[in-house]
Order: sequence, then structure tokens, then C-alpha cells
Amino acid sequence: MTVIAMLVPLLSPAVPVLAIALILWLATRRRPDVSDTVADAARRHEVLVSTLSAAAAVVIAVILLWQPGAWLARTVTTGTLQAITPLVIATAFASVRALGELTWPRPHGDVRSAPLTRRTVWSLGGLRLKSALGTGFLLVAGLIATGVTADASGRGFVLQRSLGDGGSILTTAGPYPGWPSGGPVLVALALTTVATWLALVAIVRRRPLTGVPTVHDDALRHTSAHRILGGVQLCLGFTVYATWWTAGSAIANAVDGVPSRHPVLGVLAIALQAIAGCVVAGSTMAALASLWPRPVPRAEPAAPATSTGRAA
Amino acid sequence: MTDLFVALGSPVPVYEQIRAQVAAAVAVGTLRPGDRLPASRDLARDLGIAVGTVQRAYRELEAGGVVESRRRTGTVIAPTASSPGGTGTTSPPPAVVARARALVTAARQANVPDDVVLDVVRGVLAANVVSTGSTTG
Repeated sequence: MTVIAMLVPLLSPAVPVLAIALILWLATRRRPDVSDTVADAARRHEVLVSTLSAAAAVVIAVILLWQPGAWLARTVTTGTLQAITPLVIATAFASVRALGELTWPRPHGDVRSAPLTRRTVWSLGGLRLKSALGTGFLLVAGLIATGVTADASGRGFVLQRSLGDGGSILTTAGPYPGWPSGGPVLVALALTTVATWLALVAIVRRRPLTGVPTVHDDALRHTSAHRILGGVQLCLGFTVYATWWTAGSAIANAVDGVPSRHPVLGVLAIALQAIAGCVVAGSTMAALASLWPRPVPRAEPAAPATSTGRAA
Repeated sequence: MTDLFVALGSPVPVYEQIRAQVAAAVAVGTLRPGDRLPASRDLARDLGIAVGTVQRAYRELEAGGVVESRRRTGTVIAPTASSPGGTGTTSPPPAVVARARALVTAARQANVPDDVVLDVVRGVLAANVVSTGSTTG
């Protein structure tokens, strides 16, 4: 029994990692766009890097969510560890991805090819990058707003109403994501942003696949970028959800505690929670969609072999 | 998307291969005025060659008026590169480009290697020079 109890935390990351690896493998096999050996090997390498980055994220997630008691005792503010957990997971995910991008083979052979177009992080990320940035903006905006509107302790939301006899009613509701938890979250967000940017730059600078049409290399590069952005956006979405939902709940509780109606604050609380739900749902959908590889456009008829191996 | 191919074992220097292919892409309209070329460092990394090789190719193209270097945007196809009266590569009339494309299509369908197609074109050009005394082409 003791052995089983020890194995559970060790084996618990294995199940989601194997599930992700299986999905990635099946998604890759689902669209055999080409039967080229180099392209197949490249897709397998991409799946391996994606699986390793997901494995790192799951291991970090299990450790942080398990939260040994010794860690909680050292945490400065209650809830800080929980608040930064998704972003630490995202940072680990992006960092492993960036390291994995360095393992792609260098150009070799007598004939080399490269596209005569500029690749940038913006052109590679496309709509998904804008979506992830938008989610990050929502998080920053939410943290600043809650930090400014929190009470002196930074852990609650205060609502005051003046009474006709000169007195006032003061209602405090919490937990509220003020600066004590918002500050570490902003730092974690900065680390996540840097790690993600470095991973995207590594994908942009990755050498083209040798002997494979550019459209395949381009599709694989977009798949890599979309997968990292999908994973990071999922973590950002959960952090936005936690921040905005907690803030909405605290505001709703404070409004309920005051014997006077605050219609604006009541609507604001509902709106914050509704937006939080939409963001986490959208982020989850984006992450799931990123599991499927980008399809390769139909290739034009290949040029016959030449004495130099060059296609005109 | 235009791909660049270089053969490291070719007797033609790599920088010349790059220069010729960029000039050809401009001539047939694949690259248009204002299109940005990859930074020399990025292209060198992609091809696995020295940065100086790509820089030399870009310098040759700039000297020929095909491209121009701009501080903010980098190396771009020159506005005058494809104009018949421009200083860069003289752009052939669209009808000539269309016939060249048709020739390539026919050669591909007939499974004729690219080297042979080029030999045929050079042969026709040489024969034309002999027969008409023209020095163009």
C-alpha cells in the first residue's frame, strides 16, 4: 500500500503525457500529406519536441498542484503559489520548447535551399500570436485594476456606503487579487513572455529542412509556433480566469453585504465572471486546435532530376 | 514563395548562384519591386554558408540596380529593377515570360531535365546570334 502511495505522484504525470503524445502522434498520422522520408522524420521530431515540452509542463503542474506543505509554509502570501502556477507551467513549457528547437539538424548535402522571403515572429504567429497577446493584455489590465481597487491589505475589496445619520457601512469581501498576489503574477508573466518569445525566435531561425519543398517546412514551422502559442495561451487563460473570477466574486459578495443596491457593481461582477469564463473557454479551444498540424498545400509537379540536383 | 537553391560543389561560385537566381526571379516577376529579401545573416544561416558570401551576392545585385539597401527595411527589390528603362535587370515583355513558362511546362511534361532545357535555350540564343548578328540576349 505504501509503495502504491509513493508511486501515485510519480506516475500521475505519465498519464496526461502519454495522452498528449498519443493525440499528437494520431494527429500527425491523420494527415499524411506527403510520404517523403525527410518530411516524415521532421514531423516525428516535431512531435517529440512537443511531447517533451508537454511532459515538462505536466511534471511542473503536478509538483505545483501537489504543493508540499513545506512550500506553503514558506509562501509569503496565501494564494501566491496558486496564482503563479499556470504561468510557471507555461514558462517551463516554452523553455523546453526553445531548447528542443535547437536540436533540429543543420543544413547538409551539396545542394541547399532556402526561401527568398523574410520570416518573422509576427508572420509565423499570425492570429494565434495576436490572440495570446490579447489574453496577456486582459491579464495585465485585470491585475492593474484589481491592484488599484484592492483595500490596504491588498487581499480584499471594500465597499463603503454613507448613511443618512452621518454614519457609514463598510463591507470587505475577499479574497481579492491585489498587489500581494498580482505582483508575483506580473513577474511570472514577464518570464513567460520572455520564454515564449525566445522559443518563437528559435522556431523562426530554425534551418529549413533539407530536400523538402518549402511548403512542408513552412507548414511544420507554423505547427510548432501554433502549438507553443496554444499551450501558453491555455495557461494565460486560466490565470485570467482565476484573476477575473476571484475579483468578480469578491465584488459580488461586497455588493450583497451592503443593504443598498449597487446595480453598476453588480453588473460589473457578473460581467467579470462571464468574461473570465469566455476567456478560459476560448483558450482551451485554441489549445486543442493547436494539437492538429497545419495542412500542407498541394505541391506543384516536381522538376525532374538534374545533374546538379537543382530544381529550376 | 520563391526558393533559392545553391550547389556547393558547382564550379559557379555560390554568390553568383544567389545573384543569378534573384535577378532571374525579378526578371520573371516572381519578386516585385519593394519585396524584402531575407537578411544576409538569416539567408546564410538557412543555407549553411558564410554571411560574407550572401553579402557579396547582395552587393553585386545592388551594383546592378536589382536591389537596394535601406536602413530600416533591409535589402529590397529596387523600384526600377523590373522596368524596361530601369537601371536594373531589364524586364522582358510579358509575352516572352509567358512563352518561357510554356517552354518549362512542356519540358517538365516531357521529363526533360532542367540542365538540358537551359542548354537548349543557350543553343537557340547562340544560333540566333550567328544567324542575325544580334548581340542581345
